[in-house]
Amino acid sequence: MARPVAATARTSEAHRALTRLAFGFLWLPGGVLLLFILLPLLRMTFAQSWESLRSVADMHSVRSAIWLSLQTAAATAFIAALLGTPLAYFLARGSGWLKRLLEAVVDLPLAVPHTVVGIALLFVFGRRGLLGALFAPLGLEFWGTKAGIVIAMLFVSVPFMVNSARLGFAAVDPRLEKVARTLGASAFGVFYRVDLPLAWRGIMTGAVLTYARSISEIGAVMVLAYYPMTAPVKIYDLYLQTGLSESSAAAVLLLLVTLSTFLLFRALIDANLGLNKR
Amino acid sequence: MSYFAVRNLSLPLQPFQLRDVSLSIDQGKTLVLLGPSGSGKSVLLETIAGFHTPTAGRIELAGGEITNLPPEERGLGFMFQDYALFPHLTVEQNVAFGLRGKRRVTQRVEAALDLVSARHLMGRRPAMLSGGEKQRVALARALAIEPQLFLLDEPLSALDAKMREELREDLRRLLRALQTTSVYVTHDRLEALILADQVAIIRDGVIRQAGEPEDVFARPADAWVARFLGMQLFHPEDFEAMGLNRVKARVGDAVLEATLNGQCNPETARLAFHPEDVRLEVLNGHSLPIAGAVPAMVEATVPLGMTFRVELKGNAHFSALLSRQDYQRLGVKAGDRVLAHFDPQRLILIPEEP
Repeated sequence: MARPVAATARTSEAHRALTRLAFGFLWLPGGVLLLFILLPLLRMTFAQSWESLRSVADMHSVRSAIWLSLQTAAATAFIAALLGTPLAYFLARGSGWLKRLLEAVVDLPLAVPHTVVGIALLFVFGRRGLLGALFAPLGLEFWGTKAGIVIAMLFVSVPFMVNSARLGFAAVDPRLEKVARTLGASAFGVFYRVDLPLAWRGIMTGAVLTYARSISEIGAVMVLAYYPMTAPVKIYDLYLQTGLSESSAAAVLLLLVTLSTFLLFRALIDANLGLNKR
Repeated sequence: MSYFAVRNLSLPLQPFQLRDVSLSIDQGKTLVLLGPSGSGKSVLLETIAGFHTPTAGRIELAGGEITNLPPEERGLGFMFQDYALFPHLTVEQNVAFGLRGKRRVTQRVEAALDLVSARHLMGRRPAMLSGGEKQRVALARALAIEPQLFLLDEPLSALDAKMREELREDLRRLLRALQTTSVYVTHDRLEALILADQVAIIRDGVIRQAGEPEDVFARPADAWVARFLGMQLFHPEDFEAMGLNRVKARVGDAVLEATLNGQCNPETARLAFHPEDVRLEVLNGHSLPIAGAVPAMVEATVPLGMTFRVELKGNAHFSALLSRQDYQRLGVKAGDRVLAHFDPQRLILIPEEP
């Protein structure tokens, strides 16, 4: 009697070990992907000598390019949050074909090659463009200006801002809005007192993603405003003129600055929410 | 004129249509809307609150019409099944939400929390509260604005059995003490019996019957209402009137006296009774069936805690609900032959459809 029981126990043990192994193999493709992201960045970073980093950091043009990138990306994130939040709210609350159409429009920048974006933007914001010509007499020019850089960054990062905020609003229980109405809040009051604070994390996440996406943008920026040079344009410029060594040192510098500001903003969002939750 | 009334309200909102709904309730009373899930009772409540615009009919409150007012101008308290507390606000801020621009907010918040014995929770976030505590805070938040009408959408159904019983009692005392006019939605007939001054039974967006709970439970208008209220039904072969709403109905060999309710014809007439109202007599070997009672065989007895269900098979399957005392006194067991007696006042002849 004991034998078949033991045999079953053995097979099921073997079976369990096998499933564990098979399940473990699921980590393999993910691991490959993670390595694929980290390896080039780490390899490039550790290939730099301290001296080469110092000398690049001493270059005025590199420092001002990085600073310009940070400024314009932060401005873009701010403008995107301001313009994108109400749109995200309506998309989260709407339904039907109009909502689907608008969502497709919001996602459009993801599908359009960024050089194409730059050229299309020239038609509107170029010197003789639709709005470019309109604003020029007022002293607001886009071609080759900070404003142009922000315009290009904004275009390519709109999907990140709007979708992140939209998910934030969509996660708010509609019953909270209904209760707020019965407690005397108007439709706008509900948006301001219930939806906005509850979607705040989504909105801030969208702004940080916009910031990150804006810093990394080169295609559209280059077409609309090659000068003043943002960091990616400057790095590309160095690569063309001096080759890999200087451009890679500048690249690592940008990477470190970007990553640290990105992490700082993320931490600020979390800290802020932690404070709220008590 | 009633303090609160819904008159001939219709709303063709798929899949919950409301059709020609009329309700009314006097000031300080509680109306329970009782219906199965999907019957449109929550939609009706939300229409009263102003979240849906009816295509016909009117809603009146405290002498005025509110049919077309936005929700925030109706002065109603609303309580959802899962409480819908604002997760980003403390208990205190939740209760104060509806008091913006009012005077003495802190005192009013404290008073409202005192009503539900939840003042000690003031500084907490909803995430830190138990189900029962959330329910109390939601109650305080709705009552803090001193609503002209209090709407409750299955406020107890998310709680476990013991907590539900406790809070049901609290709610009953509170609604009576504050004299808050209320409309309470539930699918639980016990809640309806305990809380209602008036009850309205709703099915597929139509009010099937309304009245005082004892009346509705004792005299359902049709077979659907009877089944929904937990009653059992016999199909009588025929019946004859005896005058004054009294009839004699034949069920198999038995001829039972019953009370007539509504227009019945022989094809669609049903005899309805609550299993609690069935009185059993155990037949020993030599006693004979009598014409005024239904002979049956006991198929099984099922203990239900304080009561026992005796499952019977006569001409049809039916069951009787006995108290523990009666059950022990009778000593009834599976296989016994019994006679089921019915009180003519509690055996109701009703139509299958109204």
